[in-house]
Amino acid sequence: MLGMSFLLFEGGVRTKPSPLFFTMDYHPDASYDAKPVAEYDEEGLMEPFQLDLISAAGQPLFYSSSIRTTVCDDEVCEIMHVQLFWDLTGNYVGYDTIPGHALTKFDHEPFISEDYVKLHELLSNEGSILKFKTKEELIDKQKVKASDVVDGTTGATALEIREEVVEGALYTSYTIWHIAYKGDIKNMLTQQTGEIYNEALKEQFLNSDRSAYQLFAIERFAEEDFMAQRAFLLKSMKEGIPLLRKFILNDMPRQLWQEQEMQSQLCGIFSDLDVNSKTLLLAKLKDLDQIHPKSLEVLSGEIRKMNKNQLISFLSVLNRQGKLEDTTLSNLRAAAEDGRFQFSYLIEEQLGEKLYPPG
Amino acid sequence: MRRTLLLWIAFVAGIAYQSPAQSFLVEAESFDQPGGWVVDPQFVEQMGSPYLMAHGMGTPVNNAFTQVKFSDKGQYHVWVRTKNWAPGEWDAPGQFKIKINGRALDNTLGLIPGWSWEYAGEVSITSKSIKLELEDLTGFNGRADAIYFSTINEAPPRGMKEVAEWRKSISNEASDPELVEEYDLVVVGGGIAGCASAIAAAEQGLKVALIHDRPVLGGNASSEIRVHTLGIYGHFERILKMLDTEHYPNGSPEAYKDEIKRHQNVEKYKNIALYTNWRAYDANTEGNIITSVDARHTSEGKRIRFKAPRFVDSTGDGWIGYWAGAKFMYGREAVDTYGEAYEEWGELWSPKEADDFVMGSSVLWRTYEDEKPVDFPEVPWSKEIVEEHAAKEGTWKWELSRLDLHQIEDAEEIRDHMLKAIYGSFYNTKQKPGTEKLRFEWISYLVGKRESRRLEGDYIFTFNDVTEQRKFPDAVVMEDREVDVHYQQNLMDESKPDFLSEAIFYKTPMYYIPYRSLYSKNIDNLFMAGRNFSCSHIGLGGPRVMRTTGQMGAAVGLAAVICEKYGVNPREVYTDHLDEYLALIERQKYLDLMDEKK
Repeated sequence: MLGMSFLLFEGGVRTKPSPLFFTMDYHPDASYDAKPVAEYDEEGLMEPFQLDLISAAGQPLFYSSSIRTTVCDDEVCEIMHVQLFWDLTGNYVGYDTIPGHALTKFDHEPFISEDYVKLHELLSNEGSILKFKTKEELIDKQKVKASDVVDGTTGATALEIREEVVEGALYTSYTIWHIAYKGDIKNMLTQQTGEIYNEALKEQFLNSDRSAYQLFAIERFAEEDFMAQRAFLLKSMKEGIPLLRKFILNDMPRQLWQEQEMQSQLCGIFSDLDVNSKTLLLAKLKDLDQIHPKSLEVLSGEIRKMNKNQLISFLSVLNRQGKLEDTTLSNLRAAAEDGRFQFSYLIEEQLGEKLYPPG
Repeated sequence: MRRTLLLWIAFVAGIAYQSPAQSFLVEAESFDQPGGWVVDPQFVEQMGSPYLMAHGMGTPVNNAFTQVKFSDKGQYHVWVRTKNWAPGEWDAPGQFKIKINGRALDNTLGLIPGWSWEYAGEVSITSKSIKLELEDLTGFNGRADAIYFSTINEAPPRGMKEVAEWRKSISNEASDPELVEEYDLVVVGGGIAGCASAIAAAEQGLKVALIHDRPVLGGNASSEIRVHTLGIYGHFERILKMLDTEHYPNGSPEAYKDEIKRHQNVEKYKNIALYTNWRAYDANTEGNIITSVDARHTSEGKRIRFKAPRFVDSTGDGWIGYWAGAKFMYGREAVDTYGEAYEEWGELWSPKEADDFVMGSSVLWRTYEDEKPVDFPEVPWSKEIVEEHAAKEGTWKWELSRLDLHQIEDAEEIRDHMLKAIYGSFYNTKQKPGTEKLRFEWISYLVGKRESRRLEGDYIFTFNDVTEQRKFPDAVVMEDREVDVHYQQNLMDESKPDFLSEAIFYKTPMYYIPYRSLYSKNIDNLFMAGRNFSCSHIGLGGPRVMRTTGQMGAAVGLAAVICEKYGVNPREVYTDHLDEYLALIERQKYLDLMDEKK
């Protein structure tokens, strides 16, 4: 398939079965529509990039742009054609070539299969070293070999950059990466999605396994969404990325925090959480007026999964409570007397008489 | 004065204090010969004292030893204040023993979590002077704060407050240092900002004390931490070229070359009194004025009170301001506090609600290929942090920030977490074929901090000053470096180790920092230069690098000159003498030329 490049969308109509690299679901038999939704322009571009929203059966799926742009070094410019794809929140998901315009490198040699794969690897790396480099910093100037083509600086690229880019196609790699991760394009696409965001899309996002979609949805949750989506919240706390958990813990309405069932279920997944979410959960509990005995019981059973500052935080929550339930007390005593638990000394130190009430 | 001297002569063989119960406390950092152990004074405010650490990178270090004099022979119990820094279901990594006159005491030390007094054993003292040794057993960062001998079998207290009071009582230390020195300007912190500040002031004739808690200058740029300097020179190229580094890879031993340059340049100023290995521990105030700063030698324990009309806080952590009651900030402001959104990066850049997810600290390290194969022991205590991660060196991405860890209060835990990360990642690398000859070249044991307390000035520098390229009448620092803010990789992908970070860059043309963000809002005679200047979390993202902080240092050094000339406070330089101050900044650029003319 490599080398047989094709234009996926032309005049709003799909022309070929599937893109060269595409990390979302793609169904060759589905009917995809492209609709121009925005245009990105900046000083120095040979032409603006048209951004298309791709939908199937009325369901928005991703964005696409067929790009014609210049790739320049200090002296020479060449024209490059490429098609880029982003998801509905503006994250790179794939690319394709344009028929008749294979990507080229050193001395106009066309890319070989490995080069296309390498380019996709590079483009999938949001934290690429290219992010930190200006074009001027790309090569070690003292080692530049004379060449009349743009990417003819093989051997001159600093080692750290060379490992990440397509060999012999430094400036092409640099240019495409910086388009794929252009903040302004991401903002335009996210804004566009915000404009068409509706119940159906919300449903789609909540059921998606894409973290960025879940984040997009949670950030737009109204209070009633939180109240209506308990299952989603608990599932996300368990399986979602830490940033998603942070949004949930921070934005969940007080009313929901106070519900016994929700509160104790959240406490029940404590041990599944990453270290920062654990800290945040305990910090949120500190702010609540009412902590249900069941929550305290569940957490007291997880005390060995707490680090020092988390334990101190939890003990201060306990100190604010009235008399503690028997199970909670016995969990605490067991931990306080456990010689293998490294922070056991803190429990009695902080709880004092609460741990062993007189009489 | 004479009495002090006599006291020190009496205990020249180590700081040994006698209490009525025939008890001695020997501070480990004051040993005659530290051997392969290093003095670590980074966490004095949290755990109470500098300590000795066996930083052997997996190979036991040479013994530390000292002579201790006893006034009474007899049977003594021996305790050592130490800690197991990686407790768990494995052998403690930092184990060591105490030897007296060549004979090891019974108990192995470094086994109990948290700083406490571990019982080393009992010894019969039959001579007036003994040789006391620390014998490292593991090479993995065992640590000893102090050794206590007592004829009574009663361990000293464990709690931080209690142990501090106990220490004072047993040493009979007066509340104030008896030695007092007076200067025109006291600069605390010998990083690039502090050094620049001392030079700028000294060149204009001020008598300056530069107090620094390490043996070498440069802070994060020193050979001990090895971060290269970034940023531009602004108005202070001449001064900063005496102090900065080449753009070598972070962690490179090339840092030594620049450090030699830095020392030669600072030491050539006769009116800079350089106090290396002195750590400030308090600032004394009268109302809103700091009257003096007290400092203690990091290994000898002696103290000096430094008096001056003005002080520069270049401690990085803003300690002088903190002790003096200066207003300060810590953490990430909510995005709306100053309107610092970077839309496409959302929460990772600036949070909806304020939090403590500041930029983290780094510990750099390097390896090399030896000529012969070299073994590296198992490090089970690093497994839960490192899992399968493997690496051969550390970069700036080796960074730790966690919501439960304060960059100052929990700095020791941060450093230790990074040590586990390093040892474990190296161990995993060593299990791969072709790595038989790989060995550690160097691991820093100092925490390289990016962000901690920021003291509040009359102006708080924020992201908006960058995006709007605001031109201030009192712009004294300039920078065109991108605003570069970090977040932890595991926020977006839980499978990533928690000790790796990622950067967000906001590229920008030139921006400016006003003089008003370089002095305290409420402490009238306090300047600040370095990462503890007055800025928001995002505001710090650009100018936190060391040429820029060096500009801040030079700028306040010159402001101190104007203060001295008119007998005014830092604020009045802005309100009453701004033109003269800016003219002085301009004039100092040509100092070398003027010297030549003379």
